[in-house]
Amino acid sequence: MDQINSKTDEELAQLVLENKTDAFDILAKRYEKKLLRYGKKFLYDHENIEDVVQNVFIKTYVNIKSFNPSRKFSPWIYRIAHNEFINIIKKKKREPFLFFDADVIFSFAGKDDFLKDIKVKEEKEEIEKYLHKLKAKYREPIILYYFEEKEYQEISDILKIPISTVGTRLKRGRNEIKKLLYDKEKK
Amino acid sequence: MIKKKNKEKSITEKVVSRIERGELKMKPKTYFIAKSLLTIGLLILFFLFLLYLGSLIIFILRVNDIFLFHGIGFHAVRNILLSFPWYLVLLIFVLVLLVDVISRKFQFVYRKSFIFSLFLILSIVIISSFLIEKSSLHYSFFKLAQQERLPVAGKMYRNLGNLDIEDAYFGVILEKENDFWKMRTDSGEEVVLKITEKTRGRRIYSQIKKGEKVLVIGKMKEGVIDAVGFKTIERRFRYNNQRINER
Repeated sequence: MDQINSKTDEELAQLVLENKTDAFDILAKRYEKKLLRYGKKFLYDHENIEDVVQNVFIKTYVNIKSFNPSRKFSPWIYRIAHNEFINIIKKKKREPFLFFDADVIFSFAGKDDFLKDIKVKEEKEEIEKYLHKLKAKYREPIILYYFEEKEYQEISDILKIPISTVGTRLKRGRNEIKKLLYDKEKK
Repeated sequence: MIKKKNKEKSITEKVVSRIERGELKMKPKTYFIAKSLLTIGLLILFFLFLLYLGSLIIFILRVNDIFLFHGIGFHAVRNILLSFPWYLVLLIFVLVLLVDVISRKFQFVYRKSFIFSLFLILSIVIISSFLIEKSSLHYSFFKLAQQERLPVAGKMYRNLGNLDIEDAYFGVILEKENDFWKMRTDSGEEVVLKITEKTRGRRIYSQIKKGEKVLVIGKMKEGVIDAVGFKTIERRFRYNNQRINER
C-alpha cells in the first residue's frame, strides 16, 4: 500500500487505466480536498458542492481513457472540474459566458511576475473576502493561482485560454479587488 | 450524532463503491480516438473548403480581369468593391472562425492568442489559395462548365465571368482623332471616348495606336464615354477564351 501511495498522479492514472480501483481511490483522495476548496470558492453560493465534486470524480473515472499519462494529471482533472462548475454557473444564468471573450481575443500582456510576491497569507485573506464580487472569468484564475497555486501554463491548460490571457485576467481581477478595497477604505 | 457522522462516506468512498458495484464504466479508448478523428476530419474538411473558396475568389478576380484595373483610379476600385461577391468572403471569414474555434481543443492552438491563430490561419489560406489558383483546378472546371460537361456547380462556373462592374468598358480602339476616339466594346457596340484633363492615364494617349486593346472607366451617355480612367491592356483572360469572347 505504501508503495502505491508513493506513486505520482500520472503513475496512478496509468494504474487506473489498468483497472486498478485502489489506485483511483488514492488519486481521488489526493484531489478531494483541493477540488472541494476550488468549488467552494468558485461556486461560493452553491449548496451541494460535494455532489458537484462527486460528479467530477465520476467523469474523471468514466473518461480516464482520454487521459494521456505522458502529460500532467492535475490540469486534466481540474479541467473536468472547471467544465462542471461552468455548467452550474450557466444553468443559474447568473453570470454570462461569452463565446468570444475580449480577453482571449486581445490579450498580448506578458507574464505578470510581480503577482508572485503578493502570495502572502494576509493578502490571500483579503482577496478571499472579495472573490464573490468578481466576475467568474476573473474569479477563477485568481482561485487557481492564489489558492490552488497553479502556474500560468497549468491555468492555461485548465481554462484552455492563451497564457497571455491568464496574465491579463489575473491582473484585472487583482485590480478589481484593489478597487473594492479602496472603496471600502473610503467608506 | 458522532456515530452517524463516522458512518457518512467521503466523496471518494462513494465513487469508489459505485465503481466496485460496477455502476460506473470507463468509456472505451476507441470512443475518444473516434472523437478526435472526427474533430481532425472536420478541421481538414473545413480547411480544404477554405482553400477552395479562397482560390475561387482569386479565380473570379482573374476571370473578370480585375487585376487589370490596377492603377486606373478610385472610381474603378469603388465599382469593383460594389460588385464583388462579398458572400464568399463572409463565408471564408465564418469558416476561419470555425476552424479557429474547433482547433482551440488542441494545446498548441489555445495557448496562443486568438488574434495570432486567426492571423496564422488567414495567412496560410491566402498564400495557399494563390498557389492553388495557379494550378489548373478552377480553370478546368470553368472550361468543363462552358462545354456543359460539369454536372455539379456547372451553372456557378459558367457565370463566374459575369461580374458586372459598373462604368467599366473593355474594347478595341477603332479611330483616333484629337480628344475623341472611337472604340468597339466587348458587346460589339461602337462608342466614342471623351478624353479630358481629368482622365487618369492621359499621358500615354499619344502612344496608343489603332487596334489596341484598352480598358476605360467612365459613365456612358448616348454612346459617349466620359473617360475618368484609361489604360492599354496586353493580355486578357476573356481574349483567351473563345466562348466568353463570343458573349
